Amino acid sequence: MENYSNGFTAAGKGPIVNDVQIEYSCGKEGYQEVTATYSKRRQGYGKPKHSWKSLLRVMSYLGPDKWLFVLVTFITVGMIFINLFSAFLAAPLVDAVLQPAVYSISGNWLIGGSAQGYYAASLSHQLPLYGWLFNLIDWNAAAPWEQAFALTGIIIGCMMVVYVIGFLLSTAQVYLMTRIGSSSLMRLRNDMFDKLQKLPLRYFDQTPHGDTMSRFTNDVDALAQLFNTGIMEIFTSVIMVVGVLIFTFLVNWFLALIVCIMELIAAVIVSINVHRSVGAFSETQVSMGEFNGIAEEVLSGLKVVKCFNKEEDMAKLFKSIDYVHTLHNRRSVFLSSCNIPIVNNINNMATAITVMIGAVLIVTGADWGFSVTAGTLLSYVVFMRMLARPINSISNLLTAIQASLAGAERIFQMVDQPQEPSLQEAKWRSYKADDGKFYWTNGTEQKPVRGEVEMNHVCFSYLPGQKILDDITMYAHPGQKIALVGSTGAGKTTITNLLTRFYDIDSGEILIDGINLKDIDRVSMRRSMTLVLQDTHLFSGTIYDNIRFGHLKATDAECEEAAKIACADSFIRKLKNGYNTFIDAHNASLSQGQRQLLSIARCAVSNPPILILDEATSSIDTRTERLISKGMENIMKGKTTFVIAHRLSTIRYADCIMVMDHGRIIERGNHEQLLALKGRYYELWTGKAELD
Amino acid sequence: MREKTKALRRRAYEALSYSKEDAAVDKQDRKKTLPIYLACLKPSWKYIVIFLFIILVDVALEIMIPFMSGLLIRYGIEGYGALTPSGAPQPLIVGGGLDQPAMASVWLYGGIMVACAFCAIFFQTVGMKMVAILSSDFVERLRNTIFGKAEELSFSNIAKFPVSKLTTMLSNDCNNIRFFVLMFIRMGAKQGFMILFCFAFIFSLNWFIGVITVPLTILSFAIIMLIIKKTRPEFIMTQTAIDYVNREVEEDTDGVREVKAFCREGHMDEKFAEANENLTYVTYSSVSKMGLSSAITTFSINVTIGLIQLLGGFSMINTANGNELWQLFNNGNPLFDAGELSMLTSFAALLTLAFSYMTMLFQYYGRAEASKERIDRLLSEKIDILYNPKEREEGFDPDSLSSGEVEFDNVLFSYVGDPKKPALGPISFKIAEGTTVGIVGGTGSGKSSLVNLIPRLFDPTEGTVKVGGHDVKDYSLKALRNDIGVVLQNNLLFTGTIRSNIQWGKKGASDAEIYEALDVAQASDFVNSFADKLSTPVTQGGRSVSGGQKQRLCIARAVIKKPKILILDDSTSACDTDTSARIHSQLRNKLKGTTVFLIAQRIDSVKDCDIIFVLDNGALVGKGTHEELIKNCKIYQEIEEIQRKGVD
Repeated sequence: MENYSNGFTAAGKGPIVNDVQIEYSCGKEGYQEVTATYSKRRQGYGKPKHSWKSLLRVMSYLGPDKWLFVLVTFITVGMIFINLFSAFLAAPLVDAVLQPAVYSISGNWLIGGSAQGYYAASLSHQLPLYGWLFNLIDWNAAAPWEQAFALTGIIIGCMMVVYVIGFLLSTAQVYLMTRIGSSSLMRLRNDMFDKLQKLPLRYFDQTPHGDTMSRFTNDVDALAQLFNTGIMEIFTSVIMVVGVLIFTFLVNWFLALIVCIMELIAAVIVSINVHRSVGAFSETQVSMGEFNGIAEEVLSGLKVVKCFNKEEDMAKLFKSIDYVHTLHNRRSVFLSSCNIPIVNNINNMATAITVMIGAVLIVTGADWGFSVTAGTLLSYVVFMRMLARPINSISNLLTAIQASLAGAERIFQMVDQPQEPSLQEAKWRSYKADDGKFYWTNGTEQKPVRGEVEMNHVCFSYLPGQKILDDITMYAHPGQKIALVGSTGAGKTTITNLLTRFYDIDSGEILIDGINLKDIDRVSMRRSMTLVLQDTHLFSGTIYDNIRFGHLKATDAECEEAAKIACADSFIRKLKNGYNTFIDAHNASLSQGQRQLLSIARCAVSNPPILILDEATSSIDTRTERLISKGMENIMKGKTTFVIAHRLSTIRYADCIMVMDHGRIIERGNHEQLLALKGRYYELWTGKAELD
Repeated sequence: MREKTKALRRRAYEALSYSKEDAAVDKQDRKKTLPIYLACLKPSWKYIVIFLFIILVDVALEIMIPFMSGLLIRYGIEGYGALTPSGAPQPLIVGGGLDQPAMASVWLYGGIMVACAFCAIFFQTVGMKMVAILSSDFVERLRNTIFGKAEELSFSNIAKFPVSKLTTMLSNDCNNIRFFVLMFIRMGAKQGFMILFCFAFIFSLNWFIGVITVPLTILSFAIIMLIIKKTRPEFIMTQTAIDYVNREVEEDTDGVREVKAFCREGHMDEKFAEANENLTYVTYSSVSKMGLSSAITTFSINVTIGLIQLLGGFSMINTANGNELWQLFNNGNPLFDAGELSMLTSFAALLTLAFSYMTMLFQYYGRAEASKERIDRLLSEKIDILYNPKEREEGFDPDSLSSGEVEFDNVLFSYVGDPKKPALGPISFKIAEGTTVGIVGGTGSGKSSLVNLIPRLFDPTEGTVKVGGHDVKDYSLKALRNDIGVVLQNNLLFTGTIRSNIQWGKKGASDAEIYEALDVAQASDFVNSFADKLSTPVTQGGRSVSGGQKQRLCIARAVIKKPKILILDDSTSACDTDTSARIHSQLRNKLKGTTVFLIAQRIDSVKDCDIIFVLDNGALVGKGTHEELIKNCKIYQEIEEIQRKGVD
């Protein structure tokens, strides 16, 4: 793409600064180019509803902190009183104390002629506390200014005390509220993660990982600001506004009504804006999840990207999402922030209009059942000034509220995904008893897990209409070794997916030890099986941690023993820190074969009654495979084992071999029987047919 | 409770450590990266200029409004606009009619206020638009730049930047910076002007008061600076904690099959909860300290206002009273009169607002700075595989491999960069163009390391790798990538369709070309069995197809390039013997002249190769054809024997 600059925006490549290539936006052309080439990636969750309920739902995570929250609310109310008190105490100080004191010294009351006259003439006497302050001083005493002097000192002293209290209260508020906020968000995240674990495999296959990650960090982060400081600030501001409005009504209901109408107009404009900007905010969060997804996919597959020289193309793809994100970003930021000028200035406008209308009321001498004086107007100007700050902070916080609404929605979208069917009705669970053996229990009865597996007329399809398994019936005696053979796509892996209940069958039944799979608690059932997959996933952590994944309570010695069985011990010892070497999930320095060895070690340490090996040794060289075969035999002894392998030599000694084709079992029997059958297996074994 | 908090703190600090050395590195990075940020900001300079102008107007209006409301009170309500014949102010006369003189002031100043408010709305709205565009665009450029840099990272670089960290950088860190820039431009400039103006006003009114306000302001800012300095490491730790939370989620999603199969939901929950708790602790610790700063500013401003009032009040009374000491102090004049005092108070209030915005800004700054520091690390990371192709010259084109001839000259490779701990070598050999090289050896014997050196996925620690008679370092990236096809061991497909994935190898390849490649990879049959054929969607990593299908699609993706060198790293491990045999024979027929490196576990797969390498612990222990090796290579014999007999 050539560099070009289109009026206000620059697109294309920027200069190279300190060895770093500056990348500008892809611009509209770049975006269109990408959307034309790449299919739509976004996963549909349905349209966000922008429901304010989700914000309330966030509040439910206050949980055990709700009493602390009540405490903070009290503290906040205390702070509001302090604010109002100091404002009302400070405002009349000059007019009610200092000015008359100066007059009393000179003896010449310029306004009103005397103390009483001054009070009557002073326009501010309608302010709260004004009269109280004025009358605290005996103006007829010999030297009233000395009292005024003392009173000023006392008032300011009081205010200082109040400020100190205010400072302490606000410190307490900050600490408590951040604690409540951060631990509520912690609970929210834990809940999200807990939920994530319960989602079916389908969700993980379909959702870009980066998008899920974004929900945990960026969307929760959008809530953080609101939670940590926002809630209390809004609370304070709203109470301040309401409090001041009450005072305005007490002074004069008519003018107060005018103020309310003005603020209402502002509120209407704001709410229209809010409605529009919430949409923009949620688009922003969605597109953020989207580019996070792309970044995660590209960066975790960087090796492939580099091999195919696709850096530029992937950058283009990323940029195109970033472009969309930026457009939404601009829009959401603008729409939410254009409330600020409106809200702030409507206050000034209301001041001027109130004064003007009030003045008209005075001069026309209209008698509407209330009196308006110049003093009333003055007090209104003071009131309006008091309103300015809380209104200002409300309008600033509206942005945070909108952003958090968008975040909250995405969070609950994930939380509300249908989870793996409920475990409630499960009658049977398995558990590992103290003797190291597994047992089934339904509460009253218990029996050992023997590993008898039976499949009766099982049908299954991932997508409706596309049958993957068709009428599968098979039976495995406890301790038998069952091999599945067949071309790719024949449904071998699908069978293991059903046995582990990653997916649920469409029809037929699967029984383990005579118990219907559907009656067994999904999670505890998996506890009695171990799965070794071809694409081994390792977790960030030490080698020990990874082996121990199979059995959390395994000691170091047991882990090493398992590694020896899997022939992984020798290469592990060659690593920088041996068994304590930290490995990263995407670490490039372990080969696929080494990963599989670790996975076998993991299986060895877990030692459950049922084993499923899905191409578990495909990347291990034959020499090593032979070395571990003895160990494997030990592991498999007495266990029902399902083996998928294309190396027929691996499965030769299986008790029963199932030859699968297009979702059906076409031949079954042991090696010799199948050879005698001279069917498909025979062809495979003698190399006459090809597995595909 | 205390003990628990302490324990939390200790654990969080251990997990997220940010040491003094880190801080020193960050300091160095800062100088290098500043021009990068400026370069990202530069294209928006027009917005900045317009915005500065708007700010000036806005500040003028902002100050006009309280001024006008003062005039409205003084001339309109209090009646200074219309004096009585004796010179006293004449407030509004009740029932005096609309045409009395004071009303003129009411209309005038009230009208100006309304007009100012409208203007302010207009200008501020335009300003908001500018800021929204400016900040979003800036971060878009920054994010694109970061992504570009992340893609450049070599595999030894990327060990320092796990994917979870990079994605945090792109979203969360960039967002922190965006938010700060937004707030800084929106409020910083304006409130800065406001503070300056308020101070100028206070000083012009009374220098003495000015002298009182300055040290208090400085003191409170000094405290805030101290807090920021203290919290800085914690802000960086917060971002690190986010990385870890991100990592736990990533691992749980990536390894979901293992997690579910081993019933490790509880274990993952615990790991996540720990990362989450650490994040929660550092967030709490840093945010609450920062929150303290606004309490401090509010307090100090309140004290300042109190002092002004106290001083003003005392000076008024004492001056009027004729207190000698006081008269000595200020030439017998009060420091200011009642009107000035209330003005000062209201400006001090404006100042409070400005300062509270400024402290808010400091809080955003804290987070943004921490994020910037992390991004700096990436931006200033030295890429250790650099492409500085040699100039084009007679007989050498850096953009295209001269031939498929490959030569290793005393090559030694170590993942940790230590020649004493080699993963491979020292090793030397020369392969002529069009040769098929089979590589066998045990798990971890260095097979993958060997082939990774050819397309420069890694650079050798010692020695040189030559292709077509030239050092691979002399070629451009384009040559190495376009003319070398690689099928990695743990291969991935990307979100899209089968077509879009195969087109990775050749941009815009036609369906016919794609099918040709699929035929070679023995993949066209199963692709055709899908309802959507080439348009079948592929999910992240390629989990929507089975292992063997994925491998064949990956082979097709490499074959469609028609490369000069093709590397197949155990890429048919999930396919059965016959399929892989057919793939290999197809490769030999269709890709004549291509040098092929074929890593395999099975002797069958490499038997027909022109030459076979046998690797053991990184050393080349055998070299030759199948027949030769069977005779004189012990390890090869052993492997062959096992496979012939089958494993048992």
